[in-house]
Amino acid sequence: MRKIGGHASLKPRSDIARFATKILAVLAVGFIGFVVFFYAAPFQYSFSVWAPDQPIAYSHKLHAGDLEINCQYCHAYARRSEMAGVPSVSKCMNCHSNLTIDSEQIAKLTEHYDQDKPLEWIRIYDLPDLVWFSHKRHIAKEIACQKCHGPVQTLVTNARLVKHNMSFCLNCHQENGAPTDCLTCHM
Amino acid sequence: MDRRNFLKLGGAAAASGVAGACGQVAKKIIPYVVPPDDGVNPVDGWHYATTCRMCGAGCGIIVRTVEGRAKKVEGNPNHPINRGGVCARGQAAVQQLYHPERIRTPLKRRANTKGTNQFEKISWEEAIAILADKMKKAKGKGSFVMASDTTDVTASISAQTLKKLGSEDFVGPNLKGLQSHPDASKVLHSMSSEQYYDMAHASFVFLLGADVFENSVSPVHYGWAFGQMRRGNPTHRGVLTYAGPRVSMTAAVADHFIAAKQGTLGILALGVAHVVLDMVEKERLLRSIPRPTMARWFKALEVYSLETTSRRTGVPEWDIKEVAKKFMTHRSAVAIPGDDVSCYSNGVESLKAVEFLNMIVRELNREKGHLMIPDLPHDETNLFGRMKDFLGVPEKASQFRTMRKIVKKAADGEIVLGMIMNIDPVFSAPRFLDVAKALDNVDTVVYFGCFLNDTTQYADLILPDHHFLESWSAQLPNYPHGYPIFNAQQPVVRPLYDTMPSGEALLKAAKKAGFNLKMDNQEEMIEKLVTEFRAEWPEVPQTLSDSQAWEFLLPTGGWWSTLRAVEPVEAPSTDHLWDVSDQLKVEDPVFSGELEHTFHLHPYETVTIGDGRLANLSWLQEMVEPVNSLSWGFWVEINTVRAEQLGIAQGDILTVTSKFGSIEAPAALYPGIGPDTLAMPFGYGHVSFGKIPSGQGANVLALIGDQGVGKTGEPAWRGVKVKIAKTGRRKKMVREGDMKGEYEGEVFQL
Repeated sequence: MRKIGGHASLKPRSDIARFATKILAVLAVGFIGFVVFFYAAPFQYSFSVWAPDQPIAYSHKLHAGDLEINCQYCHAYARRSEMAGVPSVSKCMNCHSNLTIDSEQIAKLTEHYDQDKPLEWIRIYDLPDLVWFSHKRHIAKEIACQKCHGPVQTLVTNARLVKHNMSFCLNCHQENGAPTDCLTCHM
Repeated sequence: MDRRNFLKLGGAAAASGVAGACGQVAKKIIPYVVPPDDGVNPVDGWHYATTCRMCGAGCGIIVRTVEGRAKKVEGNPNHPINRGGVCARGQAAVQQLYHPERIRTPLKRRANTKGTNQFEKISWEEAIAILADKMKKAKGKGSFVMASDTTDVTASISAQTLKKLGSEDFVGPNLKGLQSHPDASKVLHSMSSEQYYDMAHASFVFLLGADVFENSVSPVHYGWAFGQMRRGNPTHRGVLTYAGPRVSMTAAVADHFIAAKQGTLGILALGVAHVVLDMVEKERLLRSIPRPTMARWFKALEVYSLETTSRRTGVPEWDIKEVAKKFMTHRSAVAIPGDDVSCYSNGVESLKAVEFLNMIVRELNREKGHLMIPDLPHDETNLFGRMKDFLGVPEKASQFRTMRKIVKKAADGEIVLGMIMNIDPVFSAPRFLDVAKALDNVDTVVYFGCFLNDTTQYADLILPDHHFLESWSAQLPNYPHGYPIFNAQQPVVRPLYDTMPSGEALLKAAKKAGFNLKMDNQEEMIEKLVTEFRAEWPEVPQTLSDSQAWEFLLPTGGWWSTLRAVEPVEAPSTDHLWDVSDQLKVEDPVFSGELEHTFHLHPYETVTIGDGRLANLSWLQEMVEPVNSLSWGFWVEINTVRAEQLGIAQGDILTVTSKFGSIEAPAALYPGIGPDTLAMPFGYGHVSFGKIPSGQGANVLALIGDQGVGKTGEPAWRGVKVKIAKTGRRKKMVREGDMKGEYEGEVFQL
């Protein structure tokens, strides 16, 4: 007996086909899950503010906000190179050999200095390798640090306030008439 | 989909999502605790001008450092020696700086371990105290210094210390003996410095066994000069002819290669001179030379007629005539002698013969109104000489005689203290001297340097030196290339280990021993030199203070006269040199060997590891020898056709035996070598020089005997004959491509 108008999909499926469908379904849902977690995870690739524990509880509010120390005193390479750079321990000791030496954090700092043991800061702003960015050029155009890094001078603990994605860069480049050619950043 | 499946899929999806998101690990930023003096520029880095000390040439280099680490060596474009170029050895300076086998602390020999590299760590205080104590004991009782460079501040300090110890036994690095050149120029030019041959301004250059692009005093300089000669003149392309027994890398770029018998290049030079004089006579040139002088020259050259020269040298008459014709027709020409002239028993006479040829050619050029070649150093105020004197660089440093004297004294037990500065004489001196045995006999041997090597096996105390990229120094290059040059050397990185500049260590010990050296540190000496001579350096603004002048010199790499860089100076008259006919006699070379020794041994320095002091750098070991395309190894080059006749294939291990010793090496078939010649590279066969070179190959110096170059006392290290025998074993050799195969593919089969 032969079914009339029988359609391939109505045929009982083989085990292999069923297994393959399952795998595909898992992968598809997994991909969606990855995308969701990628943006929702409280980590450096998320939208949310990210503030990992740093080896020294350094306060930008105190130094850059209240004391009005210029950003480039510590991040001295911003105007000279692509990286802004993190100050060496000896730079901290320029002041802290004499100032607030009884504080617990400064004691920790002094210990690192005395033992010649470098500090391991957690990097909170990072761009993927496919992006080329130069601090030097932006500083030369007198763009304020806060334009990209948010109100850093108000932060008691280090935190990433701004998400640096492509639209963030492009918006500003368009507003200011900076080049938006692909090779400007992806070279 | 039922509920169970939905949950399963949901769980899997969540897990993969979390796994994906967690793949990123927080990156760290680890800044310096104390950054280098000039701070850190994390990306662009800083560039420092300093002086390359990988060999003695004294090229100016610029080193890029990023985050306090040396990354790349480039040539200093303003430096008159290298003009922006830098060779592979210079590039490898970075690898040497970060070499894992560097000595990191002072070391003292463990009891009864002489002959091995077994040491225990000690502190600098202890090391200096030991050295000071030994100095006190050695005063007036016999001591020596062997230096790796005789032209820098360290050499000067060690020479002065040695003087305080009451000794004059200071020996330089050229232990294979190259003193014949200055000896010959002393006779002909009444000066004892090496000649500068201005290839850049010549239109015809005749290289007599001079491998100027490989192991001359500065291959980079000659590379530049060659470019100038070829293309510097818009209307004329310079012509290069090479004569010698092997097609070296230098010979390979020549327009014309002339195969000559070993040790006959001096005869060839006189043969060419003879033909040139014949032509001069015929065309009534050189009228400024008095007739009697001319007649004496002809008489002296009588025996170097075309036929005789051709017979003695193996060079066809046509070739000799061709060379002579080029000397006659070219605007300015010069003959440059090399190792193949000086390293045979007739070396000194041969050098004189080449200088005689040059003298005639110079007069010819003058006649043609085209004298461009300042091949005689022309420094009326003797500024360079005075600078050298001020630094206190010993004059007779590189004499092989001194080496012989030291070894003899040591063997007789007359030496109490030996100081060896970053050099490996146990490896690089000819075996007949037996430096190892001599050092074993010395009461205390102190080694200053960066690496343990064959010589440190006999050292009692090791004082680790800064690498040259870590230390201050100043150098007056041995060979001023027509200019007086003062090379400044500054550190580009902070010292990596607990090391101290050798000069500094010597000064400290000397002070402790109570010797009054009239200076506290190396820098003081350099500053004094600048202060003393800056009035004569118009390039340094006179308004600057002394310390400002030094700071002004550092970023440029030093001082050199800009006068000579602009236009060549006319060579001074050579009238007083004309009466040289009694000097013109070149005997046939004498070779040490028996009848059964049918091959001539042609030991040579490769462009990569040179005499072997850089053999521990893998960058250089990996680099191919340019003409036979081999790397990572030791070989004996044999003529391809001759090898076929003898049934020898590439890689067959042969025993090479001379009257004095025997070594093994794999055969490298090479068409560019005479059928009766075997070429072997120097620099292999280290015993204890770290992981890479130790036990690799054998040392050619084992085959060379004590046969002198004339009466100079130098060894005639190419005057040896050898025989070969097959061992039946074979070695697979590392070769970049295949010369013959590629040649056929590209040239003949298309």
